Amino acid sequence: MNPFNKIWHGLRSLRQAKTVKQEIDEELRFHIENRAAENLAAGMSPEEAAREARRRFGNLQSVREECRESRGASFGEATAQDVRFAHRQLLKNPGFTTVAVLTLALGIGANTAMFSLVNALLFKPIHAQQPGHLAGVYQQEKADSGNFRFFSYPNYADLRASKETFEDLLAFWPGNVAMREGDLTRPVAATFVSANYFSVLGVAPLHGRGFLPEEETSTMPVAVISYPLWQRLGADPAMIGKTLVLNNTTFTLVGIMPRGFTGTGSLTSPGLFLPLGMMDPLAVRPGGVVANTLADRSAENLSLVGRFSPGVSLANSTAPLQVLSERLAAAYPKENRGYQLVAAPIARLGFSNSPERGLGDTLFTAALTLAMSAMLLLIACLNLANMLLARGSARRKEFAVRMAVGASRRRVLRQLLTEGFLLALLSGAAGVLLAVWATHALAVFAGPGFSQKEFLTFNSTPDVRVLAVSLGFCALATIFFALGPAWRLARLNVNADLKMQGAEDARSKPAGLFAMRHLLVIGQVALSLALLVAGGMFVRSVGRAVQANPGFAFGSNFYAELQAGAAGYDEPRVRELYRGATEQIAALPGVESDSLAWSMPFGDADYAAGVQRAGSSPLVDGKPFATVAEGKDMVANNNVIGTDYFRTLGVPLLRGREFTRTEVESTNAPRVAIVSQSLADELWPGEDALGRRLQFTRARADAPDTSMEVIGVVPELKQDLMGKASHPFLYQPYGQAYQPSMLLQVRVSPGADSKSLMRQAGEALRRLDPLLPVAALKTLRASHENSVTVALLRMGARIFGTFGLVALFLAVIGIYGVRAYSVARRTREIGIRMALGASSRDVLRLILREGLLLTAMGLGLGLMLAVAIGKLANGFLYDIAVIDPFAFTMAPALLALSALLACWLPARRASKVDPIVALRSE
Amino acid sequence: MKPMMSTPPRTDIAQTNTEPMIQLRDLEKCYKTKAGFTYVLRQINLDINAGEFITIMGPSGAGKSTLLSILGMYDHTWEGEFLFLDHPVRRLGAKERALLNKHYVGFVFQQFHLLDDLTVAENLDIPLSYRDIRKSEREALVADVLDRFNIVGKKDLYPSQLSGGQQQLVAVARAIIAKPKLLLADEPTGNLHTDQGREIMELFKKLNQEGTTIIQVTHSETNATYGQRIVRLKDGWMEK
Ligand SMILES: Nc1ncnc2c1ncn2[C@@H]1O[C@H](COP(=O)(O)OP(=O)(O)OP(=O)(O)O)[C@@H](O)[C@H]1O
Ligand SMILES: [Mg+2]
Repeated sequence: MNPFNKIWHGLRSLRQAKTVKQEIDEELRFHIENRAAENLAAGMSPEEAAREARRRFGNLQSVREECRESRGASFGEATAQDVRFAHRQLLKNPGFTTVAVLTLALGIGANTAMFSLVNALLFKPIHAQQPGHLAGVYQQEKADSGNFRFFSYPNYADLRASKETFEDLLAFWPGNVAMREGDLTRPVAATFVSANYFSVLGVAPLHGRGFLPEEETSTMPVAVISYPLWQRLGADPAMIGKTLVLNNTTFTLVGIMPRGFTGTGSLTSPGLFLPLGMMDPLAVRPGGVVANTLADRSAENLSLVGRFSPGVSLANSTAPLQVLSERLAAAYPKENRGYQLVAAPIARLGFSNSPERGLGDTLFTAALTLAMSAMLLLIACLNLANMLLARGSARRKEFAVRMAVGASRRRVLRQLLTEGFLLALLSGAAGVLLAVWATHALAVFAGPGFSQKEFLTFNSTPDVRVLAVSLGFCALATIFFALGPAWRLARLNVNADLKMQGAEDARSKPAGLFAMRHLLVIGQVALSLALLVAGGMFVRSVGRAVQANPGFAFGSNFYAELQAGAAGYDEPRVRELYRGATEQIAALPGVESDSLAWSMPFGDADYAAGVQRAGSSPLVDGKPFATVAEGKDMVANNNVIGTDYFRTLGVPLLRGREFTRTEVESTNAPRVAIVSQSLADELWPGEDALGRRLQFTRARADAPDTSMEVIGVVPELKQDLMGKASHPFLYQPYGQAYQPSMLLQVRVSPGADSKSLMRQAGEALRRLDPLLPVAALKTLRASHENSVTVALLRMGARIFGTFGLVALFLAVIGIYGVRAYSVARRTREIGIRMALGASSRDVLRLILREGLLLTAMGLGLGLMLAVAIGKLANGFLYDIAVIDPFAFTMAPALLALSALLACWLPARRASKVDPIVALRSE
Repeated sequence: MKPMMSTPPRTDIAQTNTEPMIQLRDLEKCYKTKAGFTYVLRQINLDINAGEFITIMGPSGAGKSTLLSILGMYDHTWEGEFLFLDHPVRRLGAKERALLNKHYVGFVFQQFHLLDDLTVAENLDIPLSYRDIRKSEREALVADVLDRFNIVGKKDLYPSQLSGGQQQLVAVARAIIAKPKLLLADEPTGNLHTDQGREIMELFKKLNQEGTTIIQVTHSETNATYGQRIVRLKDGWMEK
């Protein structure tokens, strides 16, 4: 007996003797009852079955005595018996079991799959030793608790040296570098890390080594690569010691991290880990800070994660962190006064100087997704409940016999629930397999769409959490599908059912329109329709998103992403290079115009800044300005562009002109800007903006003067697909706002072949400078269609479209099953009706009418549900009406047609009934 | 009694007085069982004229019900020849047989075959519902029959709430409600009190006088006297 059972027994013996006696009686009955059920199955008549079982167990009283002697086998034994009997029951009806398991596996699988995703997003700890002892460390402004900043290296080094709160502390900064692969230069996400990065996380390299302490701040070009990058580079362990060329610097590969290691992030992994000291040589500049970033105590460019010392945890870290903060502020008041240290769980998504605040949106999405998959599970459960109801009718006799020999209702219920749970477990196992496969497929599909530079490291192997939740789904499903039918059986009338011979369930009251099994079908149809509509809305939304344009036509225009900064070039050289590139490509026959741009509408990156009328004084006491005249500022998207930018996009200016060559190429031309109509309207309502001046919001009196004259007004361009249609926009010329990485936008003349032009452009760039990293060279349309937003929508469409189809499939099976069962049950009735004059057509109509009536009611209910979902989807899907005409016509039509077929097949069978055969079946 | 309904005679059915309504020639019926073929009806030769009232008698298992269901055109697995109003039944498809049956035949089943899910009134309505009659007319017909059989009080009860005799009354009522030309009744009075049985027989007699051809199966010699002719069956053979 296992320890658990021992405890259980101990507890039970404390109870009164009377209860124990009752339990023995119950056990006895249990054995008799199973025996009787087996007799029945072996072909005995019900009475015989019961009699034999009683005889076999003999005198109840004497057995009772015996039983009290050896109380060994009891609860556990009964459960084992239940399970054994349930197991046999499932084997006895392989057809039923298969359909039931498949149905439920779809439901549980969908939920497990969705939970795996949610788990990876929100719960699954990062690949590290004791991840619970790790925390993100942040620096918070005391005066303004919403204000945070990153850490400077000297501050980090001091904090790391004091080992009281944190046993050890790592620092990192993410950045992109350009890696040469063959004659291609590709951007790869890199994380610049402290030397103890891997040891703090507690993960050793798979091959080679991590970083040595002396490599941390030195400019020794050594690199560690992540598992997925290693795979992409050929997965050869002998790569250790070989070289990599990053931003034109040759690195030695010293280590390869194991599979699943994602650093401190959770879903994506960088390709490279490089020492902090390499940030300057590679010209990766956090926040635009000047060179020699590590020596400067005011250069805040690191993010920290610490491993708590024994006894310290997130909960009690406030006091020790305060001591640390005060010590730091006392030692270096200039840089550290007014700031305090706070610890928070490691940020799962994104990268920020502040703790991850409530994963609100993510949680909402997760909840929504799980709610949808729960609907699928519910449909599967309704299906199964119906199957069990039908089978329950067939098994009434068995349970009548059980109860005749003394089984209590509770016992019958327990037996049936055990059967249900066993079924659910089988389905759960199948469902988990299904989920692993589905999520793997999804990750394979979605991977490339999300990021070119990082690696999606979704691991579809279920962890304990996923398995536990799946088990929960099984239990939940059991309650949903098995309890109702079991309850019905447990309530049956022993006398009537024992006598019952012949047609199963012939005695039960007719199944009215609102009979249990009909309600189940109506529910299924309704839920299926809701899911189908949701899927349809997603599909529609993706279609519209792909067709969307930001305010100009994509045409066959293309762009090149130039990352001269990553090649290690300085500003004059980069400017020279970009001017040359712009000229050479403009000269290609077939190119109408081209222009530099920092970001592009519908691109994956956009930038914003605060702007106000020029001359506004900075905020002194933190009180906001009331009017734009006083200096009230607003957030505007901003972009840095070259000459001919709007011509290249094909957007005519509303007023004024484009930037001149001088403004784009010279660093000391008069400062000018082009604004969008909405920015003009907000800053100078009712006035002409041309000739006016504006500036970036001045936070401090000693901030440099950024005022610029408005020389052009342009229509709104939509920068973000999901964003508002008109967002204030500010354009600056490249001459006055240097950026090392720029896009070169190219407008193709009508009739020119953009494919060959792209090839020529690529060659021209290589001729110009073979080392210039070209991160992308593609059409605007391709870029848009593969953007993160569209990829997310597409993934949603894939998931919810699949949900919809699975729901449709389940509903059709459900309808078919119920109609087929009804026809089988009503064969005699159909025979009589035919004998009394009903034609095949009459019978067909009879069966069809009922099925279609149920479907119609389900559809009606489902439409109401769908409208609710539509309201929700309208809020977060791209450009979709609450009642999308496509989804709201196609989904019901598809469901109605499928239902028609599902009803028609059994109805046809009914119409072929031969009355003479049917009448004899009495 | 007024005719309750008129079935439009089908033009393709020749109905002359000289030809018998039913002609059976060497009709044989056998069941295939494990033991081989069991003959239930042997060399049945029988002519029945329109307007006749015939009684079939014989011991249990003689094949009476079998013969009746062949005459009702439910059973089509037999050998020999069966002309129904000159239609060669053997060569008719299921649809045509069903159509003939619908137009001419009313049947009282030995086991009643009432629908458990329907009330008495609804059971009576079934044959009418498949015969293109307006709702109001159907309601009137049902009310009329309920009245004639003295079961108005039972009209909303389910068959399981009726006694065996009451169920039989409903079965008979249902067979005649559509005013069939040919009434086939398998022991229509088996469960009835003598008085009730006599009433049913009086009703049959009246229907017969009005032109309905009747073939009844009965064990009762008294009932047999209502008919004009008795066909005796034994082990599937017709006694001469
Ligand atoms: N489906 C069947 N398969 C095999 N044999 C059958 C079948 N139906 C009837 N029989 C046999 O056919 C014979 C005639 O049956 P039938 O029902 O016609 O008798 P019956 O004369 O109506 O008797 P009763 O007076 O008891 O109603 C019986 O011996 C019966 O066993
Ligand atoms: Mg009979």
